[in-house]
Amino acid sequence: MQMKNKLVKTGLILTSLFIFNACNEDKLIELNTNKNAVTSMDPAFLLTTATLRIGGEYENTRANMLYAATMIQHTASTAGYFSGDKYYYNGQYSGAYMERHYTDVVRLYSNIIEQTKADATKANLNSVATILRAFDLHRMTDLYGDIPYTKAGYGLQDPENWFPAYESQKDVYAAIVKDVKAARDKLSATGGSLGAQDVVYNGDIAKWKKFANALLMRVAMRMQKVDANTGKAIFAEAYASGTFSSNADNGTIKYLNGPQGHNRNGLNDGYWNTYKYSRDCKVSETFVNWMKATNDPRLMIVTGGTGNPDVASTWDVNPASAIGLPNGYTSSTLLNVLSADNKTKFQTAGVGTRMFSMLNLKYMDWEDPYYLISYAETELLSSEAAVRGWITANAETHFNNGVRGAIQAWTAFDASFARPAADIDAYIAGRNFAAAATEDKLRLIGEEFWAATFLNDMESYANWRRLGYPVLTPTKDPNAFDGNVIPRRLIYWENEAGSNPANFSAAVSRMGGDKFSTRVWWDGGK
Amino acid sequence: MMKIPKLSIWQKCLNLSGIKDFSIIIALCSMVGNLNAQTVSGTVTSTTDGSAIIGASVLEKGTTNGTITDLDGKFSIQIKTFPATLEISYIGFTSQSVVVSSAAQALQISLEEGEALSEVVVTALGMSREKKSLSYSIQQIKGEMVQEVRTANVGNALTGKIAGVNVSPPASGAAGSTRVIIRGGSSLGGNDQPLYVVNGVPIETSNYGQAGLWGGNDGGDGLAALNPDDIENISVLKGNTAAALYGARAANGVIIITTKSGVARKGIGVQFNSNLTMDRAIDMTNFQTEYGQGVQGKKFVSQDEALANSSLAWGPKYDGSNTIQFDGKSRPYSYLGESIHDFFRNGSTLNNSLAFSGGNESGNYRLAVSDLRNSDIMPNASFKRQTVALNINSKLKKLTLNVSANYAFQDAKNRPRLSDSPGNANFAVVTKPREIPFSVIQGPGEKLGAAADLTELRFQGNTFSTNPYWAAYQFYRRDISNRLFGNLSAKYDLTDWLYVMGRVGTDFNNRDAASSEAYGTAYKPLGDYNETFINRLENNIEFMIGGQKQFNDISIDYLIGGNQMRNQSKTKGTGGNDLVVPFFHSVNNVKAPGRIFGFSQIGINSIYASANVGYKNWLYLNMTGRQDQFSTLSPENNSLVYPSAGLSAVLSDALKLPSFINFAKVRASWAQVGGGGPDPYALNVQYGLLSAPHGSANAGQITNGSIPNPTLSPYTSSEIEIGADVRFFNNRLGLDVAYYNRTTTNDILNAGISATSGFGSTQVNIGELANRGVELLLNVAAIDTRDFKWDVTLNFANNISEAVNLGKDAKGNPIQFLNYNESRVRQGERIRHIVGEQLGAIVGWKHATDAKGTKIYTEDGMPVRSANANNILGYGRQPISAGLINSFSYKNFTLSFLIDVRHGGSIFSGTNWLAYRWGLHQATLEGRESGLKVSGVTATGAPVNVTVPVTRLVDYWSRYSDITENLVYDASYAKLRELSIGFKLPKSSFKKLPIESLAIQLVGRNLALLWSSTPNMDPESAYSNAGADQGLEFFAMPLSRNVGINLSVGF
Repeated sequence: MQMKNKLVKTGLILTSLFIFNACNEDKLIELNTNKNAVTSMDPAFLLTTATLRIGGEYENTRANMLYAATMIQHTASTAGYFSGDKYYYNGQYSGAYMERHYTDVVRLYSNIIEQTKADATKANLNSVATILRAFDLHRMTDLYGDIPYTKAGYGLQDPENWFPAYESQKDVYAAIVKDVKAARDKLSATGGSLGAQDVVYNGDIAKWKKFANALLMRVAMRMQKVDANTGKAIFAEAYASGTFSSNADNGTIKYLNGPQGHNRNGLNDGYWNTYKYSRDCKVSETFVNWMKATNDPRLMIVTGGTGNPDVASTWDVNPASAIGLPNGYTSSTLLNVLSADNKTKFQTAGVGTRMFSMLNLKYMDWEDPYYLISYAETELLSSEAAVRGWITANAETHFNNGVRGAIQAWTAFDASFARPAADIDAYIAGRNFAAAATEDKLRLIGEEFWAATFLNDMESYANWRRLGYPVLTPTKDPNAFDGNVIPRRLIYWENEAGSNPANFSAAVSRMGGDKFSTRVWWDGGK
Repeated sequence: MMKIPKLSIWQKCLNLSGIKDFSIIIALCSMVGNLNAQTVSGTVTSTTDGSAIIGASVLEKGTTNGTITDLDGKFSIQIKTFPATLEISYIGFTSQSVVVSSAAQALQISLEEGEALSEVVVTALGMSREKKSLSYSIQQIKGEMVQEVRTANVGNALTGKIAGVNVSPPASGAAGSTRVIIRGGSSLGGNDQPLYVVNGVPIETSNYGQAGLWGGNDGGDGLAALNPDDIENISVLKGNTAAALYGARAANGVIIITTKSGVARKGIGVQFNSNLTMDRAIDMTNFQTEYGQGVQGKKFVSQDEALANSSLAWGPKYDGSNTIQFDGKSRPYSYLGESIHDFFRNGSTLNNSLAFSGGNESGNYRLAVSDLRNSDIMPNASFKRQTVALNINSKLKKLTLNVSANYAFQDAKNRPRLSDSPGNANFAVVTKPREIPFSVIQGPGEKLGAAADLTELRFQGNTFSTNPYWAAYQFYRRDISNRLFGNLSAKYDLTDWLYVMGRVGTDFNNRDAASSEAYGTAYKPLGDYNETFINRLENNIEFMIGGQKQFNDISIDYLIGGNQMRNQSKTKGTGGNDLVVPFFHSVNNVKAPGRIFGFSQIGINSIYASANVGYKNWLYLNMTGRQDQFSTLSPENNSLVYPSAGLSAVLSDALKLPSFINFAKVRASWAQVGGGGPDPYALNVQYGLLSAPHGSANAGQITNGSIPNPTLSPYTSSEIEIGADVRFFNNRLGLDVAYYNRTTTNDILNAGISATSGFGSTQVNIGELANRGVELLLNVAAIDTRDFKWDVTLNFANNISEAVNLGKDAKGNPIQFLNYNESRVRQGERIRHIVGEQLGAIVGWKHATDAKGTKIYTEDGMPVRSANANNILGYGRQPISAGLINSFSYKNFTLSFLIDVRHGGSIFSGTNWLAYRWGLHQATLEGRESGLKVSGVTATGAPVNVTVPVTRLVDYWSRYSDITENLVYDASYAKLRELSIGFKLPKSSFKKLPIESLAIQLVGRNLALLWSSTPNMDPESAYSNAGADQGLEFFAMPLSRNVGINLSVGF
């Protein structure tokens, strides 16, 4: 009997073993519920993050500071890593904007748009996300050419979007215009409030309408070289709809001095606050000489003086001492182009590149504004549109407004940047726009646009490629990657050649190559 | 044993349960008890040298009555019924049966050494099995093999010793983690590390961080908690059949570690072991030493220029003249002859362990403590480990209780930073301009690596290239862990053919880590400080019912059981950037500290069964089955069944074979295992907040790094294995061969997609991977005399892993390839799985050529890349591995060495990439004086015959190095991995001392690189042990050569 009992016991244990497992199934599945994350969140929270990341440190130092600012000759450097100064190719720097913005910025905007598309109470959020997504991808297409636009950042919604096609820039432009117009027209007082989640306009919907039109004007004018008729129609409609009327309308991201990296202006974080790259770069000779020649009151705003970068209090701030660094030289080759005096000075122990004008630290704080689109730009664009006959308006008034706006806007960085009205008026008078012939008017507009978009060098670089002003002399470094020609675009992020090869190759062959010298569609390319 | 009195009542019981076997009846009778028990005693010795065998098992056949021999080889056992048969066995000796007719006899039993024929190995779930009954490949190594020429991490000691097991060394010294790959791994993208089981219960061996593209450090792994002295043996279950009982977690094989137990003996046995090794970095760099700092053939003329471009060696030939350097001072422009040894120091590792053990027939114990102190070759880096290991086995009649507990305290200071240059001291050491002395970059004061103002002394313009002294002495990292793992098991023999068993295992690790990038660091002037606490816990609860039974010619060994696994990890941390008070490194000094909190848990519920049926002790059928249910997958498809079946035939027992064949076994098996989703919470989109709001605005984000997939199901891996084990010529020659073919389907991949989709990857269930290969193990007792022995062991394996199918994309088209990591070089080179190719192809740019293969250059002689970056340039994994062990012994002296060979496979070198660009590579010497002659054709076919001027050499070599092809090297090598020379003092020499044994060995590791074809780097260099990084190198820590002494004393 003992034996039998044992077998019964065994059976019981066996049975309980199976029950033990079966009963646990619900508990097992419960383990996979993440108690520290949510499966839905107010999409307005995402708007804040996406927008802050437009000014991210990584890509802004690479695309804007290292490439655009030096190619456009706002700044210059003898350090090899400022690749744009000598048209060197650095795959990481060149591809940085593309590398970061699809995953950091575009996917969040796409997610907001998807979540809010059928929700009338979030129509404004939907519109603002659409406008900013278009803004960011517009920058992207201007930097590279053909890009994924329509399906970009929508990988979550459909596996078809895992390998998005590159659309021709012409199509991207058409899509941007369509998206921005539709979003603008959807903005309304009843479309929901954004409040503080909107780090550009703090929820001011009227200003977003103006921003949408400013973006449309920028996009439209870019088409001037290749499709003036379409550009004209878009511009005129946006102009009539109403855009920025003062610096109070400026589209800037409002950063803070912390506590984390994402709270800070990433461009300034790279330039000075954390990485101090600007120790290795100076204001370009081209820019300094232009400001000196025009008696520009911005000279001692743009440059903070000369001296040891680490001890700003000892800098020489006399405007007469301002001297720009010529673009395109190493410390050795620079000796060949310096005047005899400067050559001696340069070779004096402890001087070297410290004799050239530094960027001003006062506009490099973490909490300084980051420019998306400014009033000065819309005024200068309007002036150009008037000159070209795209709109009926007084080109001179717009020009003068633009120049004045550009100079006055500096006070947003530092109160000490305020310049006397008389100085500004004198400067404007000195430009003598009214008296200029048509082509010269375009030159003046181009130069002022260039001066007004210092720090927003990617925009400056795009506008220069379109308009051809200011006239820049290419640098002559023997190791320039694609010849001694100012690049007409950046080379794509190398990663895409491997991760999205069919679409990538199609884009490269459509554009006729993936080189610095390849022209994008609105620049006369394919 | 035929005369059985009074069995009627038992006979009835047995008839009821349908069991008819006499041995059972005898066992049952013994349970009834017999008052007339008598003591039988005897001595067990070895036929080889007549020495006493301690701990031999003496069992009364057919009963559970048994004992173990003592220190003098003596035993005594109570026998109730005569005549009785005693079975005497000991591992490594041929068992013997002796019929005892009365207690009067004093038995003299002499066992013959015959390890091969009666080898018992530890298999799945901790079951010991006779090796001949197994239908799969299993290789067991003894503890000595990891104790003599030791490494702090046990995994690393397996290098070259087991056919089909490839071990990558730690990228970062003693405290580093080890990568062990069995048969090429089962999964295309997920974890490919084996399961580690200690004393029957899985332990947590996941990694605490690896360096990646952007740097970081190897955080070590769970294996580091084991002291090699505690290891009795290690069994490696290579194939699916062997591992099928462990289910999902065994998809990459299982490494079963059994720790030492006590043995029956008089008094307390004491074993002391001391091991000291000296470690020295191996310098693989061989850079040019003729040209120094400068650009375009010219020296620097100003301090700023010297600082900004310090790393560039494109200046003129060294001329000894005084030339300005980064700090404004002039020093001779000449090669100083310094090497990495002027920075790295000689390291040392001292490991002392002390073990106490004892026991009698009803139980045994072993308690061991150890202390390891390592000072790394990286200055200011060290590792300490203290362990306590306790094993108690107790047998109270039918109840067997086992307690196994291991405690480890680990303290790792300044684990070296790897890969990308920030904080990677080795990066700066290797690339330091050769005319700047190390003494200068040490800095002017006592604070190493600091300038006069106590911030980092920069000698290179790139702020991200950290001064090596600053990185070593001013950066701070420390992690301290307290870990306890072990298990309790109770086994009760219901009858002699049926037992129940319960086992509870736990593995708990509490890790407290701090790290700081110092205030004053060039790339982070305000520094940072972070504290992180990680708690990891894994519990396994297991029940089993099993036993053995004999029916005439048929024997059955069976088991049924269940397991519940729960694993959880909780991370808490605080800290952040920007220290307020200069040079005060504390989490309390962080300007606005952030916090991190992470929690994840996973679980698997399992049931399983196994049966091993033997026929006449020569034919065996093994069958197992297991069902796992995973918490990480959705309930509709979260369960998987793993079956296995195998046949083993010992032909030498069944047939009459020629006399030179002593043993011959053939085996064949089939099994299916698989795995669940490795990551919890990967099924849905999830949102979280950034570490800080933006003023009054909340900053939200999508927390998934990868596109989630709710339809993931487990993957399966089926394997067929055939093999043979044959011994010839009196066992002097043994050969074990295996062939396997494994297919993994529905592999869960974290597949790379276009980042323009918003995500870089997605988890999909699409892969099909084939691994096939052969393994060979040859043992030769080349010389076998009483005094002199020479044994040769050769293991060889060739594994080919092929990506068969990568599923279909959204449009239904087959996916041709999947992307994995890229190198820090970031020029488009990648690790990629491609359909129809070996796993882990290295793809990238080739030099463009015309139809005839002539290289294309620009008109001015610059190399031109191929049209795309999709060219296969090599494979990051090495198919062929071999190890050759030669052991000699002469009387009390032993000598053995291990040569470790890898063949096939390639590596992309980031070190050489920079060496070309910065003018350090020997190849860049050409054309320095009068330009580099280049000939080829242009893209349009026009001939190019130009001289690239000196001013453009930097551009030439930059473009040259941006062509991936030029940096992919054959990674084959052979190394003299281990050498040991030992001497065992004969017992006679310390008869009067209370010492039982004394042995001393001189040991060496990584002694010589016999051949390789990778310039300026070690072919084993990797900055990471992660699977997707194999084949990529970027300024890895140099490996070290170790020599030392090992002393062991038994009391």
